[in-house]
Amino acid sequence: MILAAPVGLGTCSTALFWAYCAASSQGKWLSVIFIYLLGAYALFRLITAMSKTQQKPIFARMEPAALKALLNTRNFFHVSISAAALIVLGFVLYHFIRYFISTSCLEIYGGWDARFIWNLKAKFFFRSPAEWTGMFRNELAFSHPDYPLLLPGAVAWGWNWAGKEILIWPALIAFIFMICTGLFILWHLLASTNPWSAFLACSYFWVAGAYRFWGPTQYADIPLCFFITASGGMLLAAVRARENPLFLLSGLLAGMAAWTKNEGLFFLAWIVLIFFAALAVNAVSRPDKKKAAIFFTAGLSIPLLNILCLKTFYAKGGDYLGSGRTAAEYFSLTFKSADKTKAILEGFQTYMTKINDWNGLWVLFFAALLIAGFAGWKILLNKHGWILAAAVILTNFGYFLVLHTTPHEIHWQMETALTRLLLHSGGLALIFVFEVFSSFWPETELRP
Amino acid sequence: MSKTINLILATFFYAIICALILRSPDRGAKPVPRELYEGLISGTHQGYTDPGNKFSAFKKYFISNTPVTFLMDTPFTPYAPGIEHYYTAQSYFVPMILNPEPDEKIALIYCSNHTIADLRLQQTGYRLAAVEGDGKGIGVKVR
Repeated sequence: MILAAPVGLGTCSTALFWAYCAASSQGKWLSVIFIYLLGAYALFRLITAMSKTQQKPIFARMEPAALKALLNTRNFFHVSISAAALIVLGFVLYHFIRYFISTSCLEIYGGWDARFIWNLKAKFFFRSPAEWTGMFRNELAFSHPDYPLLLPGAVAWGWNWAGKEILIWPALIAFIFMICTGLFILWHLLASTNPWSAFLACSYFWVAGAYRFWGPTQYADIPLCFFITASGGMLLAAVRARENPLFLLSGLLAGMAAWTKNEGLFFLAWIVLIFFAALAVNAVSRPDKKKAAIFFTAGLSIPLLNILCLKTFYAKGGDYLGSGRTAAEYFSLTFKSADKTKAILEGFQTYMTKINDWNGLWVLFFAALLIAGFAGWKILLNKHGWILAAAVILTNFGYFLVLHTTPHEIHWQMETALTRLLLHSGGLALIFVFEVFSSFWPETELRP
Repeated sequence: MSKTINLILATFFYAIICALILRSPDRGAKPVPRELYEGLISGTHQGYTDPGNKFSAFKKYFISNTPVTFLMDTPFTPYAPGIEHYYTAQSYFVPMILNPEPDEKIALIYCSNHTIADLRLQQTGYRLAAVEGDGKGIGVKVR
């Protein structure tokens, strides 16, 4: 359910993109009809599945077991702290929703990138399907023609459906992604830790200054954060539960991350690497590994096809890919500039420790990493927690390398982008922190 | 580690988390006029003005979607001060392309005042064909 809305928006965007590629002027109605048919099919499958009462649930081992256990426990202390954490979550959620609605109402057109990149592209889709490729013209280099189109596609699909550029729709999309990211963290921790950890982690996410600030701006960074968090979390769940459909979901979500922002392409590369590492160290049979690989690859293939089509036929140039710079130039820029490296490291330290942005999240992440290394190896190895840590570290390491090659002045680049880059893996970092520290709480009947 | 140390560590962690949640900077809800809520929910958008509306007077000059040059106080650089006018205009006129380079037959002139506009017209080879305010108007390419 938590994945339904974001994945649905990604699917709408994919349908719209291919409908416009296939029949530009007819793409509008074609994409709407396709989604109606897909929706009808999904509904039919859901109804037939529900009628088979004896069927084993697909994700049985990933149900929020801690919540079920809480409802059956007689431990007053655990019920009390869970109830207290739930009250905190309710309070935080209420204030978060009020804050989000008021900020969105007052700034309904969104921030700079929303107005001049994401919604600008959506206008091309909506206003003139026959001329939608205008968004890739060189004159509009400022709007980065090579950026992936999940967000513009989702916005335009809603506008096409409504028949007008309804202002509330991009804000609603931003809201959906913020809420769903918090709820995914909640679900994941309910399935792997205790209820109060899940409630507190979700509250922590919705009060963190950086997420509260960037959420209503309608930038693509929060949707990317959702897809990265969900893909990484789903991969961990798949490895723990050994359920192939979860590998499919993890792959699909990683593909959608790449279809949201170019940074998602880096994440895709890292998650593929982590996936194969997880298969390598996991004691499962060769045919099972093969099956898992097929499911994972199938999941990410459709969004990846979108990107291949976009980068091959429509937007061949970009700041990085297709910029004309050679591999030797990239190597030299990355590894032969000590001053730049120092400035970037200082930048990471400065931006990660901004208390009003992160509430100490990154400090807690490194503390969890340190403690897990010394004393919590069980969570890292036996429970595969290393998947989360590796996804967070590799994602930010990738940004660290890429910052060396930016065509812009490095301090300006970090000032405008580094906080947003850190948003992407913050959700996974938060899950990791809670998984590690909650593992030190004495074993209870509430922990799955 | 012993159970006691584990318990202390976990308790310490939850205490820190609670403190951090409670200390979060107050980014509370700002008061919003009721009209805005209603305008959004109903889809009438009452109370909202598209930032691009300041360019509505120019719309009558553009019958087709042929690209038009957008002439500003200074030649185009992506992050120059005041560049937002250009981006806002482009967003407003989509799908018509506004070229920041003086290559098109028609130019939308959007300068701070007529003195700067005259200078820019001379530099870029346009003549003023219609006036829509101080330093604003439509130019036609002469060379």
